[in-house]
Amino acid sequence: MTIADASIMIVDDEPELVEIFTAWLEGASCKRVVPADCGKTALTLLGSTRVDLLVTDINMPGIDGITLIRNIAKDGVRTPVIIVVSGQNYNETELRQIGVRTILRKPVRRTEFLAVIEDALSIGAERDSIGHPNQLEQSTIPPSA
Amino acid sequence: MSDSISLVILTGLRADLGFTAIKILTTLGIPSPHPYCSLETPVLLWTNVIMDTLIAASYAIVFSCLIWMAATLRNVTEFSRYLWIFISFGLFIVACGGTHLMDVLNLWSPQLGVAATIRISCAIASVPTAIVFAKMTPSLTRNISSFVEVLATTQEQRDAAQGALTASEAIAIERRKAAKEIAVANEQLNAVMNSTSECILQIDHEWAILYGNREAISVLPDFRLGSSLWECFPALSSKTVKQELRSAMQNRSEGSFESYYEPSGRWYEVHTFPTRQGLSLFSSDITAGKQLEELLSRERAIKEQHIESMSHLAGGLAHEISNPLAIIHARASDLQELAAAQQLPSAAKVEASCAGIVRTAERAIRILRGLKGLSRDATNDPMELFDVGSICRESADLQSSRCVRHQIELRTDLELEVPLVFCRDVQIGQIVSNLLNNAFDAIVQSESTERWISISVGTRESNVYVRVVDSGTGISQDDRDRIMEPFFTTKMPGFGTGVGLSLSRAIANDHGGSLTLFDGVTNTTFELLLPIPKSSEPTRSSQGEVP
Repeated sequence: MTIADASIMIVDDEPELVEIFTAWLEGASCKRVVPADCGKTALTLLGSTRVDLLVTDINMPGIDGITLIRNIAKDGVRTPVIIVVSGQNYNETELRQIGVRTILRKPVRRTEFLAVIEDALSIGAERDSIGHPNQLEQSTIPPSA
Repeated sequence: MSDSISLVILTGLRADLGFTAIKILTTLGIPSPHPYCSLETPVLLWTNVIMDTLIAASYAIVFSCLIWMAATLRNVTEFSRYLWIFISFGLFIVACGGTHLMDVLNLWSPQLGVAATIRISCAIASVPTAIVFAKMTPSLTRNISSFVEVLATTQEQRDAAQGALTASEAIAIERRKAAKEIAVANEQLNAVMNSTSECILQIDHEWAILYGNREAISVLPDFRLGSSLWECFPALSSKTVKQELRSAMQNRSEGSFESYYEPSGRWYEVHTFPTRQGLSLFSSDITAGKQLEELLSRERAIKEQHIESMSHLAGGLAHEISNPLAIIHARASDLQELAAAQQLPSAAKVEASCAGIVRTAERAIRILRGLKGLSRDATNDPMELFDVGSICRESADLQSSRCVRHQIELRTDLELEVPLVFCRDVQIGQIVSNLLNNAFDAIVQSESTERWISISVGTRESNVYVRVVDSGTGISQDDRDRIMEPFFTTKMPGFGTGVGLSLSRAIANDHGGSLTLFDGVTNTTFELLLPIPKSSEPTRSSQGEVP
């Protein structure tokens, strides 16, 4: 699946970052970007919208990134996930255990962001299913210089 | 006359002088002695005269003594039976004396009839005397022996009694000496005991007071010897002190503990030493040390709280700064990549990107400015006019990241414009941050599903208020009464030092305002009031009501 064909959800409580990520995806011909300002909104939208890739911030009010991923897995949704982190305030082992395929560290350049998105989409949705971490090919994108 | 007698005595034993003496007597008109009796030998004459006279005089004396003894001892039972021996012997002796006297008189004027009569009397007296003597001598001898033995025994008893008396006196003397030495030693001991600044008490096994030095008496005004320690000093009956003293008494062990004595408002270090009678207590005033310790502890706690606040903020800072940096980085790198690819964007796009960069950078600067304010002592800053709403906004911005991470909703109602107030902005920011920190800790510790903090500003009467409300479990009535005390905390271990609210209240008071905890409300509500200067006109105000 390519960026152009995919439906990608961006979840972040920082509106300007959502705006930037959306602009980058739209600039890469992505026809369907689903923005969400928090975990709660994301869960609501996931119940009614097809999403091929989820890009979520780790720190959010109410339902944070980790809780969001756990809830998705609990509901049996098998959408691949990219989690966006800042600094060192996360536990990588924990993220791997809950099925996170890619960890993206802020700050990030447009090209790097799109590369990670393309990479995640190129692997079949079946293999990237959430809740089966052992089947995932794990990778971490280092912060851009 | 006297000269003549002296001459006779001096020459009596010399024959040539014997005649001279006779001549002198003749001169004096005394007739010459009978020539036969003088035997023509003056020495013999005078020898007889003197010896007979001497014997007669001696017999008279012996007779007088015997009669005196008989008269004196006649009522003594043991003696009365021998009374006649003395009487008959006395008569016999006096009769003998009479015969000797007559021998002398007969030399000058012979009275042979009288002499014969006296001699007969003497003979008559001698016979019964001899009979009585002969008859009673054995009995008298026995009695005398017994008497001598009795005398000896009595003497021994007297000696023994004297000895006993002497020993008793020696003991008494020793005792008096020892008592004196003890008194001196006691005096010295008392002088030492009374010169120390320590309170010294001695109590027996029944807790009765046996001794107290001067310091003890002055510190413990109800001091009474013999009274119960607990009755005299009810303030000592606190659970801790009682436990310590009972333990020392039971275990017979030395020990020490610290105790606060409320009547004097002083701290004491009490050392206990077991004694044969009970316990000795030595307590020294350690109030000064305690105050110093408390001061150091307070300073340490303030520093710890500072570090705690910093660590709280540090966690949020990474996220709070990293988001603006990520935005700035994204927008700048976009422009950089477009320029590198010779795809110059439109002026509108460049303007939009740069506006985003500037706005986000300002946000980061505001965060850093607030952080800087929290980390320094602003006690000596000048009072200036500040907008309390802006101060609150900066404090809330600092907390927002932390709240997000813990799913706590931070409700801000800071848009209302309120009058400027004279304050030290850094200190007011510290109070607000402290209230927000407390609210945050209360929610994190609670199991409630409701998780929010609200901060609002407004005006009430002649004050600007800042209210911080949280969805935490609230504060019990007991804790409400003490919550502003230094070092009091309801937080779990590791969450707080208990200094924050007392310092915050002190800062508020220093600004002429107040910091209070509302009573009778569902959620924990703190209100900071700062007086509006009389010259300051509110730009827009709302009359706040107590929730």
